[in-house]
Amino acid sequence: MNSFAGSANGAGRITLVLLLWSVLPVEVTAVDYLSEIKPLLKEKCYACHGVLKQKGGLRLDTVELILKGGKSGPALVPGDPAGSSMVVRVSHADDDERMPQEAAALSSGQIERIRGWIAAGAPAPENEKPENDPADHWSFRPISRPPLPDVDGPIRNEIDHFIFAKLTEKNLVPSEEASKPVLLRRIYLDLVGVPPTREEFQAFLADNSETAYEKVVDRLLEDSRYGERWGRHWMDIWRYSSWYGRRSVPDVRNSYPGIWRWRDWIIRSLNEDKPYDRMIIEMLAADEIAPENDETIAATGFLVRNWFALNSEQWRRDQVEHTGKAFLGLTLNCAHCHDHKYDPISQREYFAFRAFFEPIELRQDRVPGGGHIDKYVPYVPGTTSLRKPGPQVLPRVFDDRFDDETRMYAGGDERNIIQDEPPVAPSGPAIVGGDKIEIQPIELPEVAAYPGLKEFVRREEITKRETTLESARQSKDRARIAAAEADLKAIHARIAADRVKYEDDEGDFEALAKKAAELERLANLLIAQTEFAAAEKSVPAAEAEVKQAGEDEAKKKSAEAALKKAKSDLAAAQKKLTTAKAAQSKTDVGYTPLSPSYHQKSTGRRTALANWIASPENPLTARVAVNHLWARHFRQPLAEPVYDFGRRGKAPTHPKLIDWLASELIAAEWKMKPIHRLIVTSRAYRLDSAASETTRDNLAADPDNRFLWRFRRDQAEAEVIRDSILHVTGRLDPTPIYDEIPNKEADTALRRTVYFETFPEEGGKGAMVALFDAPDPCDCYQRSSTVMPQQALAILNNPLTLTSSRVLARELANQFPDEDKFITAAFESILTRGPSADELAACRGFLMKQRDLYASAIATKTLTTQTGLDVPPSDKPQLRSRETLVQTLFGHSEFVTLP
Amino acid sequence: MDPLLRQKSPRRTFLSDCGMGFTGLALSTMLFRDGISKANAESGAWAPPTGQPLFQPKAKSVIWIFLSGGYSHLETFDPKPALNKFAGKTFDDTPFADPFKHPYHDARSRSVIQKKRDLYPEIMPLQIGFKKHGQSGIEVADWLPNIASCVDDLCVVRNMYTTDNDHAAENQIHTGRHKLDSIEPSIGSWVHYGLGSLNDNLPSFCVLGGPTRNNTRTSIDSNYLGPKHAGIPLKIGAASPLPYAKRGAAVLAEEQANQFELARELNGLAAVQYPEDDAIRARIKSYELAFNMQMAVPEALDLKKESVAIRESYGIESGSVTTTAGQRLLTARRLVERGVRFVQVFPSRYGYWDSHQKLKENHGKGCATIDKPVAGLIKDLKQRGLLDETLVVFCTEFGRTPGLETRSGKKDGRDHHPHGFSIFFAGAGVKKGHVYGATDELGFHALEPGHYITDIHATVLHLLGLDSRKLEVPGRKRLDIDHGNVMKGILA
Repeated sequence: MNSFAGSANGAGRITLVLLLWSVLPVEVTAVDYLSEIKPLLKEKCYACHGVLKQKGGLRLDTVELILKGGKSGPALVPGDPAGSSMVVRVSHADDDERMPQEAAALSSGQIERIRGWIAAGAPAPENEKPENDPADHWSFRPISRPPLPDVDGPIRNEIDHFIFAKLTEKNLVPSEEASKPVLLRRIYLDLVGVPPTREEFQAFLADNSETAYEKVVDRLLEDSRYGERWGRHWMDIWRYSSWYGRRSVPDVRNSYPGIWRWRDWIIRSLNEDKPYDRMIIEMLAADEIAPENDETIAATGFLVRNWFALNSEQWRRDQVEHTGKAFLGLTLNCAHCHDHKYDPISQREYFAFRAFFEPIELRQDRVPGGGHIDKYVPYVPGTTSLRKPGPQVLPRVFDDRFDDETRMYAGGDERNIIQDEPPVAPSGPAIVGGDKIEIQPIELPEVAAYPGLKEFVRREEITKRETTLESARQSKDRARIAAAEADLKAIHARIAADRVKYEDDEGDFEALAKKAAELERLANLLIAQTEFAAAEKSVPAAEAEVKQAGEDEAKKKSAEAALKKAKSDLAAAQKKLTTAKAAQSKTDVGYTPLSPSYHQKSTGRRTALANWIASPENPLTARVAVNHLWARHFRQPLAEPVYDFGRRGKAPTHPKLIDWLASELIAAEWKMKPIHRLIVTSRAYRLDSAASETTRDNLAADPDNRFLWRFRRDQAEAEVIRDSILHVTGRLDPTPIYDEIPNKEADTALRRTVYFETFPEEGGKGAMVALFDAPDPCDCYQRSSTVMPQQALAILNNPLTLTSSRVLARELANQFPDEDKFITAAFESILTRGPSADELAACRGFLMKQRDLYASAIATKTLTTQTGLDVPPSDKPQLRSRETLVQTLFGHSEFVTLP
Repeated sequence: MDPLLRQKSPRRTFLSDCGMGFTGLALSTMLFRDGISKANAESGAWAPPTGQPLFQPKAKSVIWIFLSGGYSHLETFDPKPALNKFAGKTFDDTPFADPFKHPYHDARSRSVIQKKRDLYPEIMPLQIGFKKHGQSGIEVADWLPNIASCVDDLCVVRNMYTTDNDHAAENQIHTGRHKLDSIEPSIGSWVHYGLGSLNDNLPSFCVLGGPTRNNTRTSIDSNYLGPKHAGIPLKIGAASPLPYAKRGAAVLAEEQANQFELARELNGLAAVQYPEDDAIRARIKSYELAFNMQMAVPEALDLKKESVAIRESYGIESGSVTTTAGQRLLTARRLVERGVRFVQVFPSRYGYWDSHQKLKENHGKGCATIDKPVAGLIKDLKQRGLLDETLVVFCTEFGRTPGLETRSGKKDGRDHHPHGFSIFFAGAGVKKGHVYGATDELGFHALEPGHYITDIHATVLHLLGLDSRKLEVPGRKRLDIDHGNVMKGILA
């Protein structure tokens, strides 16, 4: 018990009589400082009168400091509430005088409590400590590698030293290691997101070697499904979202079409075991550090995802907030309107962080198969530019707004620029060394400024013209052949000129450019002529159609529309021809480039930021990263919340372990697979999740299992559930997908869930995964888990489970005509274990009941197999009963649980 | 149950005994019905809500009627003769203070779109007449004769304001936050989170006719409260009124009933191994509820069960413009009757209210579609005694400008107007035949104390016996603006 008042007075609670400002004597209960006053002061006052700030020279974080007071004297007079300035200030009628100034006034009850406490003489605990120096906060201190604590009892690796020492310290008894089937299911679901097949299950049971489990771990970490499973985790943290706004219009407002390239980069990077520091750098600055590599530049999807068509300010605010939360575990966003209330981060530092992103713009680069991009469309917030999804592109960022200053504004509203504050230069929070970031401007290679130099662009432009020429030749239309030949010649000339200008080819650029321009003009004229001729012909043809339509209203309407279009095409062709003719007299050397051009420089700001974040010296980054990994392996983080490692977040349950893992990640050169391997081969990870005779006492001491005396069972993620239904029936299609699959196909398309579109709006989640806590693409640093009735319906009435059950039941029935063997095989396939005797009996009873039901339905001709699904139910009672058994097993709690 | 396993904190034990933990909360609430919970403030530690009101509630359920698009307060519930008197003149030509210079003007019209919205100083006259109705003599636009006939049961509030001058205000009135701020759970999810259901066979937060567009999903979403507290759109007349609520094709009723039973049995056997796992027991319960829900939802949505007279009183007649709204509102009544806590109804099309052009024509049509159904609902609730325990909220995202919108040559409409607008309450715990608050003479600014939209939330929660400050979730700090203030002046 916290009550010092109790110990000071020799009684738990005392009652005393006070004179309140009214003259009536009022009986009040004594107020406990530590439980009632201090938390209130902490919430309402410490931000300005504590260790972060001492406005008016006043600190309120110990009673001693309160009594010492500030410039205007002591803040309280023991025994005299009315004469205590803190009471006067919190109950002042004038808004300008009343404290706290930046929060809601205290309630009358709260003020009463303060008065009561002061009236009782403001009793204080002994040795009350002021707030710690924020620089000493656990996550702001440099990462050091703690020594391994001593432990008794069996352990498997270093992690266990920390876990089991803590359990001993807390008097908690650990579970035994889980059985082989549980362990196998656990590691499969955890690392690759689907359960083992029956064959894999049996092979594992048969492997009696010491390292049977480790062999599985190593194999799964090299399995490409690992990238899909863990990619989805990181997509949660990095807020992956498909484009949204008004999908049905369509109107792109947030994120951008083609963002899936970033998804694929995530999956690929994980499978390659790309170091985490490198991943951060690529996501924040690939355009600066890998400017020639489009696959890497796709990583800037992290920044593109926050793009907002209506408001560029909001885009930047989201960059600050989510770069801070995802990588640093800092709630920088809390310093947007005023200095941070809990962490030593000033409002100015908020804007300094924003300055790293000030110059960025969105651009769309051509991708193979996506087609020519003729001009750069600038982003003008609030207009319709860039808002229609078009052919495939690579959406990416680049520095474009070199002259934009970062100005501070008040109240979170960009209309209120603080005129007295000078523009802010880019910098990170000083408390973690961000003020030492040095920025070097970057010169970009030619190809970054002029993507038309890419080999695939040239090849596609030539191939396109060769194809045109080929079809012209087949048509034997001489004008078309001539036009196509000229165009092909022109593209070769344009590329030849480019080669001399930008690459090592030698030659007279002026002459080559002049020739390219001439050939291009000629080609344009010939093309315009053939198009005009064709358009001219189509008008009389369309007129004839109209006449032919006669009285048929429908035909007439469509023929008239066709005529209208033919006429407008003709007008356009005419215009193009006129332009092409007029161009013939030009003699300049300007040939059309193969792409738009951009700056050949970048500010280097994001590279500098990324290097600082991804540095081993940064105290936050590695700690935040290992906490994310841990949270997903163990279903609970070491430090909560995962996005706030500041002073408002909870202290970690195992502070030394988090430091040790962080130093291990850095020592492993930021590769994550070694950390996964360490975690999943620890004894802590292998513990059974059920409470046993020996561990039941823990339920009282640590009911939430915060100290990991057992493994935490948890509902599987939506993706695991959906993917597993397909996987165990052998229907999951592993072919790669270079796009996003529409959610309306979620109950029919046989692909992994990670490849479906996902966005935070109506229709943004598949109906089934939505019921199983699919991630909110705006805020999913950690998943929630829900049990609700609609989940049962989603399992039993979903076409996906209906068809999958039938497929699996038939396959197993072929192998196992015997009923018990069938039941066992179904359990093994779906739940990675055989049935108990009771379960076997229940299933037998069920199969019999179903068979009887079908037999009588057949007798009454009420059994049907008409479904419209690709796999209808069987009309044979035995098989159909087995189909429904398999489907019911998908509704088993273990199927939807990480064991 | 093994007594050894009962050594938990009392609350946890209680929940686990019921087969629920925090995970199973939605289900646990059904066990906490009737009566008032003991505040969990004693222990000081945070605990999720118990599903019980914190104090004696006035209302059991809420029917929240939302007219997406922004109806004109000036042509519904807040007549301003000055607009007729000064029609065609500008604000400068009137004796009244320039509303554009009001200190609140900029603060209460923040654009999501990064450009200044045009201002319209030329006064547009009222497009419809008003008459006083009932004993209370409250003025209602002539477009709403049926609602006018219930006016003695209404509590009209005329001094609402919001801060977004565009349609993301639809999300704002439901979540309390401007689109450029963080996203918060919607009011319906807070109610669900705080109170759960009175009928576990039905979703407790039902949505009819919405969400209106892709990007207004937020208005029914539960955000960090989790999917179990999100609004469930129900489709009236559809083969499957909610996702997966219909048996698969060719699946026999008994065939599936046996499956439900087997699932319960197998999960029960599994639960023996994990006696302290709340999630398993919640799942067992969920199978029972799912089985019931599959039947209860279509039953609740079956309007054929209502008499012709009742259907007609809501305007449900074939081919009538009132049919859609009537079906949704009658369904809303059937749902609250069955214990649903919060029904969010979108009765009408957006274009009727968002009258940048042809306000007279559009509002005239819009009013015609909702007038009879809304009045029908109020009268029906009243005659059944349900109006005493049901709170009806009738609202929109913002009002419309007193000035004539002249953007792109338009000349007969009004623009969005966040500075002042009107809503009404009816039913449990609110005054009857009462007008509360006002806008200035021009119908421009809400007069002090204007009510920000979360004051509606605070009032709704208060009438349900809840206090949003006691519903906060750890790690999710809410601001004063999120909590709002109870509109005490409207309480009966």
